[in-house]
Amino acid sequence: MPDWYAFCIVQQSYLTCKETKYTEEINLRKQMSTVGDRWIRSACKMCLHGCGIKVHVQNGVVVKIEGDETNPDNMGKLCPKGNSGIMRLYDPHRVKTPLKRRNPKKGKGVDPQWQEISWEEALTIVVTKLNSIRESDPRKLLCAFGDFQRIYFWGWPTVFGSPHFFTTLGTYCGAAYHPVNGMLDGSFAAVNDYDYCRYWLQIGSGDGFSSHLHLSGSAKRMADARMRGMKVVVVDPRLSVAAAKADEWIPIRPGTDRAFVLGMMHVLLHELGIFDREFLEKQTNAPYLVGADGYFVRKGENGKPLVWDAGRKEARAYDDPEVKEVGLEGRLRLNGTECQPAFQALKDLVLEYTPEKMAEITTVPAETIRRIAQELGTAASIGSTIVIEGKEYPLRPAAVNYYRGAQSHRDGLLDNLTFKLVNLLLGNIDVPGGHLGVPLDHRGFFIQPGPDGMINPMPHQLHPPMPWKYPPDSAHLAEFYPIGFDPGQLCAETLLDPKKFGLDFIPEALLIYHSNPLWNMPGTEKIREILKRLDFIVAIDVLINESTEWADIVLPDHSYLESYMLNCLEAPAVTGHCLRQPVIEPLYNTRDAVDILTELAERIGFLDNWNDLLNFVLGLTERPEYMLSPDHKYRVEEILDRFAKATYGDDHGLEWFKEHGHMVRLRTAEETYQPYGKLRIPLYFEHIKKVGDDLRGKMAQVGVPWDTSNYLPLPIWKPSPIHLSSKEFDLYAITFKEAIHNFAETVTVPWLTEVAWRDPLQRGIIINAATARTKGIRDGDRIVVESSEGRLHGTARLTQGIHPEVIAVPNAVTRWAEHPVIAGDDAHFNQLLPASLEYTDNATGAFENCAKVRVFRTPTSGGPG
Amino acid sequence: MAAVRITALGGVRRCLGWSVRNWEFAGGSVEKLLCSVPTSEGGTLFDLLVEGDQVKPGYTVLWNGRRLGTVLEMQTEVKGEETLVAIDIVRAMTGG
Repeated sequence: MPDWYAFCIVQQSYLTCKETKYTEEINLRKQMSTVGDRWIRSACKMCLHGCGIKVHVQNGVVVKIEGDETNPDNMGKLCPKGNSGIMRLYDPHRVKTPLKRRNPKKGKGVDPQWQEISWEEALTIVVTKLNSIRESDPRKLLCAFGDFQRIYFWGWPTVFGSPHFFTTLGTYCGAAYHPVNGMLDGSFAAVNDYDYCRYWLQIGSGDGFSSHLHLSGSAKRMADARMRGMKVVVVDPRLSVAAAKADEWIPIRPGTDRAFVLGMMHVLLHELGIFDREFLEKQTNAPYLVGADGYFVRKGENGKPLVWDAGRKEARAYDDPEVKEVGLEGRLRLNGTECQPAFQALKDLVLEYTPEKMAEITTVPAETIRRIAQELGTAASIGSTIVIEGKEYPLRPAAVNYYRGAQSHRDGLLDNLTFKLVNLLLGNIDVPGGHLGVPLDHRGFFIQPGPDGMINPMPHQLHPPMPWKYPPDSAHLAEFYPIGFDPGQLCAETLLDPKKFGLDFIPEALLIYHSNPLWNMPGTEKIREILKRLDFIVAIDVLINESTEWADIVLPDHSYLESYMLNCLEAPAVTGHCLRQPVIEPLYNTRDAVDILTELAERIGFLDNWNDLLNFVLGLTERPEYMLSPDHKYRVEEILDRFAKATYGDDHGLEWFKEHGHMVRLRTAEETYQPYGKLRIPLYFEHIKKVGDDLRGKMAQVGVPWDTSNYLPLPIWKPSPIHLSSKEFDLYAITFKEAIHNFAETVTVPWLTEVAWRDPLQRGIIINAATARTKGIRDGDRIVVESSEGRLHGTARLTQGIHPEVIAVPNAVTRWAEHPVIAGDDAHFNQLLPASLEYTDNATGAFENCAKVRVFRTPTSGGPG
Repeated sequence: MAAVRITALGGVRRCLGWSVRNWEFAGGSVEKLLCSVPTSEGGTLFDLLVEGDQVKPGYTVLWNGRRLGTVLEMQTEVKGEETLVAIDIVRAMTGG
């Protein structure tokens, strides 16, 4: 199975894609394209996931967007964002032609005094500046790349020579999550099994209800599962949509979900004795003996890890067929060294995490922790099996599902390990009913045999780890995060004091590509200060946002209904690409963003490397006849045509996709359940310890103090700085989104904003009614929320549906860029978050998504409004 | 003789003077294969990609789609019909 950069080994049998399955769908599609008004199949881009859509065009005008019922991903369903895509296309505030700033003054609310200019003039200005930077030091260009659907084109900065990630798109939610999925089973994301799960414990996530993976299809799958009787329990500080629809809502103190689950693990292991022994013995490294140094005890130097053969009373290699009875528990001395099975180490570790102790940390009563552990453990039905597609699998229909709210914290690595391990104990990883890995794209799980009978850990799937180097080149210090994602938020700290971090360059310019660093990064004031210091900013986007309004030049992209892309991104149940294609001619003087990047590459002088990079990341090297020639400039359609043919075969180029829409199909059982076969997955993450020890040594060599305390093979509880902050800040602040919005960028869509604002809780700052009373705050009062980092203003909305220690700021309140739909409150949550090493997970680069705050009525508040 | 398809990208392409070749090879390990491919400046592909016992930082070498990081991993015997891809421009590719 492929490495991340080896699209190459996608199997031909898979690529040819079982055309017979599609006969009926194809006939239906052909019929649709020839009858009456035009209905065109395409892919949505109102969030990143690209649901199948069909677009009704009358006389060249888009009049309706619906879900594509032939696409098994979303099965004809479409969320509010997708339905309202028409308003993005016809937004009168779109950038219609290249713009040049006339006002040299920049800042919040400053009119840029845009001047419309020609493409030639705009490109000449941009190329002149970027050429000059590239010749002096390419690291002087910061890049803020977004647009997940064009993720294969994110390599432009590296070809230019810029190593920076000046944004937190992705880091905000997945910095710890994705690497841990990759290290566990070679997946990119994960979700419980909609088809067979019967007890779904949802922690800090909107899967199936309001957010995360492919919402439209997932909501349908969740609804079907509920109809067949699946129980849902939601752990969340806020009465979210998921919590409101669940069988039970358990409010919890923010950032303590790990403690809740550690308490459950204590109950499972020390009170109930519930764990899947067979799974742990055969499919994990739970029996491997761990020495006092934290590493596996091996047979000779660099030999195989040993396990304890309880039958023969001796240690043997883990794969010795003569082992009679694998020991999971107990302690022993081997060659004078204390050691124990990894499972025993975990069991010992959770001994102290009693429900009573965890209750103090989480505020969840001890009896609730015990009851949920009992329910989950019982529902897992350890020992049961099921036959699917002619093959017998273990059936474990109970699992913990989680996402941003549960693990985007200062110790995100430890959070993720904890949630994986509770599932692992129940034997439910990648089996029917359990917690399933979700691949990044059509390549499936990233499976390679690793050392010691294990699956090879794959923390990096978007790019290889940046090699350690001191002084570092990257402003986000990626060189110091060998298993982490790109901690873009650290730019806020490093760029204001580069010498402190060994950076020997001063950035001069910024390229913003479908991103909004001023909005999506924490430490807003610091980001603003960095922007002030830059000589030149160029932006490629569809609309002006808080960051692009600082630009000197704006290069307008087509909207998604005017452009091409092949989409396949972290789909829970399906695989295969869906084509995004123009449904009308571009309305304005815009260009496809990929074509813009290619044009810049040619004019700056690295077209050959740009084409080579695309050859590599698109897997065209597997079919040399489709490789891009180094010296030829290709349009996006040509690139995608080659990508499609290289991936799906000679007969499945862009024209095929234009006619048929997609190659999306349900994943088979073999692709879904334990696709790594007999390779073991880790209960004990020795790899993380090794990486941490190596990093510690390297940093010590250069005399740089660097915290590596989170590089642990097993998770522990320790409080985040938010749990230790001064009593002056007495409440926790969290943020949330519902299905109506994609981050905050869709708040420019009038339909969505109208719907969102009909819900008072989407428009205000949510505070527990009893807590508010103690502060003299009434519903409708204007209030101030203040952290050590910044403050925001808003309207108090009182409810019992939130933990008493918490206030929640929706992402649907407002934005501040000059757009009539979004001008309003200054309620920007990220202003509250510090962007610093202290609030960053030293292992993965995840940052703390909660803030400690104090809340009070504005002095001028005139009472309920 | 064993034929291996070698794809050279970025700086590796420039050093070799070509992008894709079906390389006829007398036999031996991947290391020997790399040593048999000359660069336009008189060195070998092995010299270009390897320093000490490691692939140089900034270079990525894929053997049948799997990343090779050390000379030890290059001791695999070449059988023929394999693929080798070498590139030097993905070092700092970012994305969250």
